[in-house]
Parts: sequence; C-alpha cells; structure tokens
Amino acid sequence: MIRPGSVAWLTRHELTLAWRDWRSMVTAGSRRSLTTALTIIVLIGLALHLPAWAMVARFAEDSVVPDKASLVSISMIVVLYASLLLSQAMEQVTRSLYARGDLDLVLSSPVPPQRLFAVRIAANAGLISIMAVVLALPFVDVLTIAGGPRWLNGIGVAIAFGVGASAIAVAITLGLFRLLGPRRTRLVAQVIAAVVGAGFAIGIQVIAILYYGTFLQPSVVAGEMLLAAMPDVANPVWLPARAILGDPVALVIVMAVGEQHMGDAVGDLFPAAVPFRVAGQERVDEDLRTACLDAKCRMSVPGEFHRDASSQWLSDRVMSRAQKLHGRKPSTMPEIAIEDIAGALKPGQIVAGLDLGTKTIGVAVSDRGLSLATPRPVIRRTKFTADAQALLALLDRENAGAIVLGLPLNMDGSEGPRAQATRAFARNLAQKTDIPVAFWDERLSTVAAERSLIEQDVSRAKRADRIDSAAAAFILQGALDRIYSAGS
Amino acid sequence: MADSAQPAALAIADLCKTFERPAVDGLDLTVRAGEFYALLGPNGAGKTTTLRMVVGLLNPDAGAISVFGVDALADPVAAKRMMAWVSDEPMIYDKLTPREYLEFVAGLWGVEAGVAEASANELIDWLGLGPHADERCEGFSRGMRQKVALAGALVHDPKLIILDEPLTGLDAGTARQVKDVLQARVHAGGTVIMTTHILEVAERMAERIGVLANGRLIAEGTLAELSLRAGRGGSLEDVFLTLVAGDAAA
Repeated sequence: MIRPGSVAWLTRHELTLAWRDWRSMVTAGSRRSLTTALTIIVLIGLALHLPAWAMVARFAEDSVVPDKASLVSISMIVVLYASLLLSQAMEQVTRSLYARGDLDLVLSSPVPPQRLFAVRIAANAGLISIMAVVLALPFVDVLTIAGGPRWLNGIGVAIAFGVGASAIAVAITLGLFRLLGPRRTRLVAQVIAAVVGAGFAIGIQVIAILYYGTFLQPSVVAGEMLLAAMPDVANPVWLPARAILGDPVALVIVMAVGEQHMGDAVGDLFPAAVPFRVAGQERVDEDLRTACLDAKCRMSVPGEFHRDASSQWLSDRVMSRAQKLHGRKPSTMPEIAIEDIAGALKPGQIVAGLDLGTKTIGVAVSDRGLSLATPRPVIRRTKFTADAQALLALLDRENAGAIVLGLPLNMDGSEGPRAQATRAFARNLAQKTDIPVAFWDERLSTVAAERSLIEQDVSRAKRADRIDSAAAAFILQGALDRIYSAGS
Repeated sequence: MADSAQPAALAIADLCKTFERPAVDGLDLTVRAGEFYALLGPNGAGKTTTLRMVVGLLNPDAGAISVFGVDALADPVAAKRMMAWVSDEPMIYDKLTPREYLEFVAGLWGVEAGVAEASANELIDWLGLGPHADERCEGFSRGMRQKVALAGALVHDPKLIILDEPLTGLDAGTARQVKDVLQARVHAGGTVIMTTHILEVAERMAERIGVLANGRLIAEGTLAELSLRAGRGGSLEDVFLTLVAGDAAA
C-alpha cells in the first residue's frame, strides 16, 4: 500500500495523468481503440527502420576507434535528435507546470512543495527518456543487426539525452519565468519548443541533401575542409558519437553528464519552481532581469526552504544575488545614498531617523548642522495609511528633507523578514511623499548589537514593543557621523 | 487545557501586501470558530489577496496570521492541515473522475484510504454527483466542476473552509446546493469564510459580514449592526454603498 502524500504516491498520480493524456492523444479521444492505436504505432516504428537503414547502416562496420568523418556524421544526427527531444521536453514541462493549473490545490495542501516539484520534474524526465528510447530504437535496431551488440550503447545514450533534455527544458523554463514572469513564459516556452521542433524538420532535410550530394564524403574537397575545421577526435564534443559507436567509457561519461544535469534540476532548481503561479502578481524589476541573465543563479538551500515557498523569498534571493553581481543595491524605489543626503537638503532642512517596529515607529531628528540626533516621541502603529499620515505630519513640522530608515539585516548581512517589511514600508511611503529615503544598515550602529542579543533567537519575526525612540536616535546618529566624515 | 476559550478560527493582524499599489493595507480581522463569515467588497478591495495569504499561496509583506491559534507564517504546514481553499476558478483534473479526484485530494491531506473512500462516497451522494462519479471530468459543466471542487475541499474534513466567490456563474439549483452544503458544514461546527461581491449572498448566508475596501476592513458585523453603523435601515446594498462611499470620502 502506497502511503498518501509520499513520493511514490505523487509519482503514481503524475504517471496516471501522463498515461491518460497520452492514451487520449493516440486514440484521438477514444475514437480509436487502444489496440488499433498500438498497432499503428508499432507499424510506424517498423516502417521507420527503412529510413533508419538508409541513414545509418553504412556506419555499422565502423570501428570503435573512429575516424573523424564518422564522428561528424553521427554527431549531426545526434544534434538533430537532441533538438527534437528538447522541443518535446519543453512542451512537457510547460504542460505539467502551467497548463494543468493545479498549483493552487497542491500548494495549499500540507504536502511539501519541493517534494511535489521534484516528483513532477523526475516524472517528466522519465517520460521524455521513454520517448528518446522509442525514437532511437529503429536506428539502434538497424545498427545492432548489421554491426553487432556494441551498438546497443545507443539506448544508454538515448536515456542520457532524454534526461538531459528534460533538465535543460526545466532550466530554460525557469530562466524564462524569471525574465518574463509566468504568463508570458508559457507562451514563449511553447514558441521555443515549436521553433526547436521546426529546426529538427529542416535539419533532416539538410542532412538528406548533404548525404545525397555526398558532401560529407571525405573524398570531396569541401568535406575535407569541413572536417579540418572540426575539433580533434579527442575533443569531448564527440563523446556522444563515440558512445554510440560502442566506446564504454564515453557512454559512462555521457550518462553521468545527463544525470548530473537532472540532479541539478531536481536538487537545485525545483525550489525556485514553486512560485510559478504564486509570484504571478509580483513585479519583476530591472535588477531582477539582470540577475536572471546569470544562468547560474542558484536559488536554494533546500533545508531553508519551507514557509518561503513563495515569491517574496524568490525575489529577495534574486535581489541579493543582483546585489552581489553588481556590487550595488538593487533599487525598487527612489532611494538616496547616505553620502548624498547633505547635498539633497534645502537650507534649514534636517534629517529624520526612523526605527520601524511592528507596533511602534521610533523617530529621531537631527539639528540643522546635521551633527546630533535627538529622539522624538514614538508613533503608535495602527493602519499603514494612518501611520503614514502621522509620520508625514511630524516630518513636515520638523522640516525634514531626508529620511534615514534603519534596515535590520541579519548578522550575516542577509535580509530577513524584518528587512523585507522595512523595504515594503519604504516603498509604500514613497507613494505618499517625495522625501528621499536612505537605508542605514543597523549593524553599523550600536543598536544592532544591543537588539540582536535579545532578539536573535527569541522572536525573530516580532520586534519588541519599544516605548521610546532611542534606537531611532542610534540609527540617525550613525548616519550623521557617516555624513560628517563623507563631507570632511 | 489552561485556556478554556477556543482560539479564533482566523486572526489576522496588521496584514500588508503591496503589488504596484497596496492591495492589503494594515488589515485586522478575526473570525470566530464555528462562524459563517462573508468578506464583502468591491473588485480590487483585497479580498482574494488576503485569503491567498491565509492559505499560504502568497507571502505577506508584514503582519500576522493565525489559524486556530497556529501561527500560519511560522508553521504553514500545521495551518494548511486545518484549511481548505476553493479558488474562484477551481481546477479539477480533466483526466480524473470525481471519485479519483477526491481520493487524490484526501491523500494530499494525508487522509487514510478507507476513511477517504467513505467520506468521498458521502459527499458524492450529498452533492448529487452519483451518476457521474466514475466519468472523467473533462466534459463537466461549470456547476459540476464547482461541486467537485467543493467536495474536494470537504473530503479531508477541514476545520476552516475558505472559498473565493463560490457562487459565481452557477445556476440557481447548483448555487442552492452549494449554499446548503456550506450551511450544513457550519451547523456541524465547521467554520466557513467566503468572499463575495453578491450582496444577497452575504445577507442570506453569513452570520457576520466584513466589508473590505482599499485593503482595509471598513465595517463588520451582522446585517443589523451594519445598518446601524451606516445610519440607515434597508437592504445590505444600501448599507454597503453608504459604507464604501463614506470610506472613499474619508
């Protein structure tokens, strides 16, 4: 008995859906019987042996130690084959991640999302591998009959390509998702799948023309030039072709690379897949786009990933990634650097420091000379709009020309939920006022040490209900000192 | 138990979520256990965003959510175990039969196979799905799909059922059935929260009504209390329009 919610159980669900999809496709919605459909498929498979014979039989006697001409010819077929698999894999991934539209259901259930996505991606890989083997069978058959069992290596290569194509399809889809957002990803992924598929059809034609024109025969001068331009026989690009030719070492390497890609996809990428629909409404800003261009954008520490099965986490990860890449803070709002504050103030204006808590907002103001921070009474938080009103009234009274907002980073410099809440507050505030906001890393003020000791493990999410603005004064004083040293 | 008072089915404090503009803006909301609660509001008031945060499909920017005393942000899995979510465009698998769908949903919530089968049968009878229980869902009408999705939400016996616009697009007969099922659920001790922009539905079904506008709760109470608050008698529609207009003017 399979335990509900387990990996095996989820796998069975995936395979049931895939089988029924496939079955209704081949039986044209039950208008044909399954037996008829299978007979047709077998007949097509047998018929495919003829073109396969025409294309590859001449390689059957090639030795395991290959010449370059054979490697080039076989590799061209392999590239075409891979493009077809990739197109199918993209189609499959898009279908299973978007078209089914069951993410609301499964993500609102207690099943861990990473388990579901791992299963879904692995099931896709399995299905594509089956397809890969079926496609390769006529060729492998022909070669095995004509040249002996070493050609059975082709099955292993087919599986490796099926698995690898699925992994690449997942990576492309996720990359598109981060670049374009969920809605457009679905369309673009389907377009890419179609284009790659069309490339396959055209490639077949090209190969046919080349063969019949004996362009690839070494006796032709152009062919020799082409061969000369190709990498050396020892080059790894020939590994799949060598594996097909029966080289066992090459086969092991090819399969290992395929599985490695899959391992990356399942173990590393799937957590990022979770926010597919969830993140639908999130804004993808310019920095996020740039960050996404970094294909190595690794999103996960699986253990860390539980509640954060959603967009905020993803975008924060990407944002901090962007920060590392560009050495600057990605901006989501009109933001000013601490050093630029002095220049931005009009005569007579002062700087205000804010310490954002869940229940209160601590407020401090500077003097006109920007040297000393003085605490002001805290603002009790109620609703954002009311808070903002109270705050803006106070800033107006004090003639503040800039805001320094304490950013509570974790001790390792990463941004936790409190920092997120702070940034969100700043974004909201930016819609109500033109006063520029600078963030101040609280770890640079004494306040950080004091606070982190108390709060680190006790209640990360909730800030203590502070009753005075001392922390705000600490924050502002730190910033004022920086402004002073920058100006001198 | 030291605490004799049952915790609220849902307690939301200072919840905020901003997309291009604030969708939910400092929302406080409490739904008592065993209550039928309707969230009413114009389009874009933040109803769906709020509920998606409650069921763990969106992360709030700030605020706290607790479900029967469980912190849904700190322990989402424990909270999800007690909840069911029916979105306004419910997804059911075309290639599964209603019976298989119910079995799958029950499995997601870890219900034992025997128990799941019994409760699936009961729900199929109750919702009049019997004749179609073993047909694939691909040919089903919207009403049928909504019923299957609703059965899916009930099959794991959640303490809190959250529905987004459950009656939109249903014919009168089906809407009636859905209402009856939900009301029976409340009588049996369950808690139901639904959003709607259909005033009559809120008026007729819910014990308490919360009016949401611009991401905040602008009024809450029974129909009588809301009428009093709006300073005029009459239908919920009058009351609602007065409240929303008052909020826009403020």
